[in-house]
Amino acid sequence: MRLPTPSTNTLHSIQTDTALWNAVVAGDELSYTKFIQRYAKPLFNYGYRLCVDRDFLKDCIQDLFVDIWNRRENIVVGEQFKWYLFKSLRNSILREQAKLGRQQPLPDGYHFLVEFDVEHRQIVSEMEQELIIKVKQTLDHLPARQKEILYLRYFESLSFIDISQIMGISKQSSHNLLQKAYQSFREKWELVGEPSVAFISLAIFFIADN
Amino acid sequence: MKRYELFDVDDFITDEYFIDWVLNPQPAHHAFWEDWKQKHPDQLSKLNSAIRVINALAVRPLQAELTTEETDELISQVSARIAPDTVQKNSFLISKKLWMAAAIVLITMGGIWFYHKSNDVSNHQAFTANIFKEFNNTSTKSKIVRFADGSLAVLKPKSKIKYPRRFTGSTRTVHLEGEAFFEIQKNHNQPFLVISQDMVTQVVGTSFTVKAFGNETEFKVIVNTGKVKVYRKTEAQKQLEKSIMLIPHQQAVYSKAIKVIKRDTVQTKLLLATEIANQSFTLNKVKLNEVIAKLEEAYHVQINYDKAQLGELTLTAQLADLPLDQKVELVCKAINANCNFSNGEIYISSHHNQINK
Repeated sequence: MRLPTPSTNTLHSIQTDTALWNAVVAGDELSYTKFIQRYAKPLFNYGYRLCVDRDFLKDCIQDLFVDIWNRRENIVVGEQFKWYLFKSLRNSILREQAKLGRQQPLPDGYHFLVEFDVEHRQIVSEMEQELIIKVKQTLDHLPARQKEILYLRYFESLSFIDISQIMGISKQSSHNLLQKAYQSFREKWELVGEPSVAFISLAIFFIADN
Repeated sequence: MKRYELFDVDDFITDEYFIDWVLNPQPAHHAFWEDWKQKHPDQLSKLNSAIRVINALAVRPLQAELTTEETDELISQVSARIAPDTVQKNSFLISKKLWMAAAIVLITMGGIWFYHKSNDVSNHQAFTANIFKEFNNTSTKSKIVRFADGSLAVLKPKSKIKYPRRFTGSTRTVHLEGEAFFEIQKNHNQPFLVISQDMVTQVVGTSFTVKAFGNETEFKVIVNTGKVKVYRKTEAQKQLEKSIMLIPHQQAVYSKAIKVIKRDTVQTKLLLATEIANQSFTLNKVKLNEVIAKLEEAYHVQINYDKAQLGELTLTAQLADLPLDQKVELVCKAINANCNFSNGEIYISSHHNQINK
C-alpha cells in the first residue's frame, strides 16, 4: 500500500523547529528571516484560496508576520503553530475583505479555491477510473466551507482541533461540517451515479502533488 | 473501542484514527491496523478500495505560488517594520483624499555635495538596507513612478529615484537624483520628504519639482501648488530657523558656494498651478487628442494611444486637482477605454470599437 507523502508546500510537512523559534523569541531577527522563509509560501498557498488578489494577500501576510514578531513571547511553540498561522491569516483576509466591501455575495460569504486532479497511476480498474473522475467533478462543486474543511483535513492533514481553531468553530462543529461535506458529496453523487458506487467513492483523501 | 468490523468505507473516512494512520503513520497506529487486518480479512477489500481511491485524488497545485523574489521582498518589508527605529503607524492603506493644489518650488542645488552627515544614523542604515525600490530612468522620455500612498513622480530622463514599497514610519521619504515633478497625496500625519543628497524638501500635500543633478551646480525646487519647506539635511534639527517655506510660483535656489538658500519668484508659466490648471483641466466636450496634448504639455510626459482610433472622441470631465494618474484614469473612464502604467509609461487603449460623438 502506498503511503502518501505530503508535499513540502503544506504546513503539515514543516516541522516546528524549536531551536529556531527559541531564537526568534529571544529577538534574533536573522532567525526570524529564516522563519518567514519557511512559512511564507505555504501561507500564501492557503491564503490564495481565500483571496486571489495577490497584492492584498501579500499585505495581509506581511501584517501577520509583523504581528507574530510583536507577540512572539506569548505564542507557545509546538502544535499551536500550524493552525495559528492559518487561523490568523484567514481571519485577517476575511475581515479586510469585509471592510473593503470585497466580500462575495455567496452563501458562505467567501470563495475557497481548490481544484482536484486525478492521479491515474493509482487506478487498478476501469470502474475505479470512472469513479474517481466522478468524485473529482463532484468535489469541485461543493460549497466553500465544505471545500475548505476537506482541504484543511486532507491536504494540510490538520486535526479537528486545529481545524476548529482555524475556522473559528467548535470541535464538534468541525466534525459536523466534515460530515456535511460528505453528505453533500453523497447527494450530488446520487444525482449522477449508481447508489452502490457511492460507498466506495466516499473514500476521499486529498493528497498533495509531488 | 470502535466497531471497525462494522464500518463501511465512508465510516473509515471520517474516522480520525484511520485517517491519521493513512496520512501520518506512527508505529503505534501501524501495529494496531496490521493486527486488525489479520483479525478481519473480510473488511480488507473495503479498506483497500478506499485507500486506492484516496491515493488517486490530488489537489491541483496553484499556478501562482509566491516567488523567491516576493519572499525576499516580504522579508525586507517585515524587517523595516519591526526595526527598533521605525515608528509603526496604522495607516498603510491611506484612503484617497482630495488633492490640494500646491505651489511648485524648484530649488536647484549646486555642485559636488558634501556627504550628508546625517544626525539619524539608523535612518541611513535603513536606507542602505534592501528595503527600497529604485527606478532609474535611462531613457530619453519622462517616466511615471507611482507610490504606495497614491502619490506620484514624473521622473525626467537621466534621473533616479529610490523609494520604499510601502510608507511605514513617521514620514514618507524618497531619495532623488536628477529631476522629477511630484504630486503628493495629502497626509498630515506623514509628511512627504524628498531627499536629494544634502537637501530635504518636505511637503504635506502638494505638487512640485525637485531638480538635483549630481554634476550640476545648483539644486532647485519649484512649487506648483501648496506649500513646501526646504532645508539642508544636516540642519534637520535646527530646520525651523534655517528652512525656507515656499508658496506657489516661488522657487528656491541653493548654491554651494554661498551655502544659502535663496527664494525667488518663478517667471515662467506653470501649467499646473491652481488657477491655470482649473481652467485648463475643466473639460467640456473636448476632443481626446486635445486633452492628451494638454496633459503632455503640463507634465512633460508622453501618453501612448491610438490617435486615429480615439483622438476624435469627446469628453466632459473635471480633471483639475487630481494627480496625473487619476486624471488619466478619469479620461479613460469618460471615453470607455483602458489605461495602464507599465514601466513608467502611460498607455491608453480602447476595449470596444464604438465611437462616441
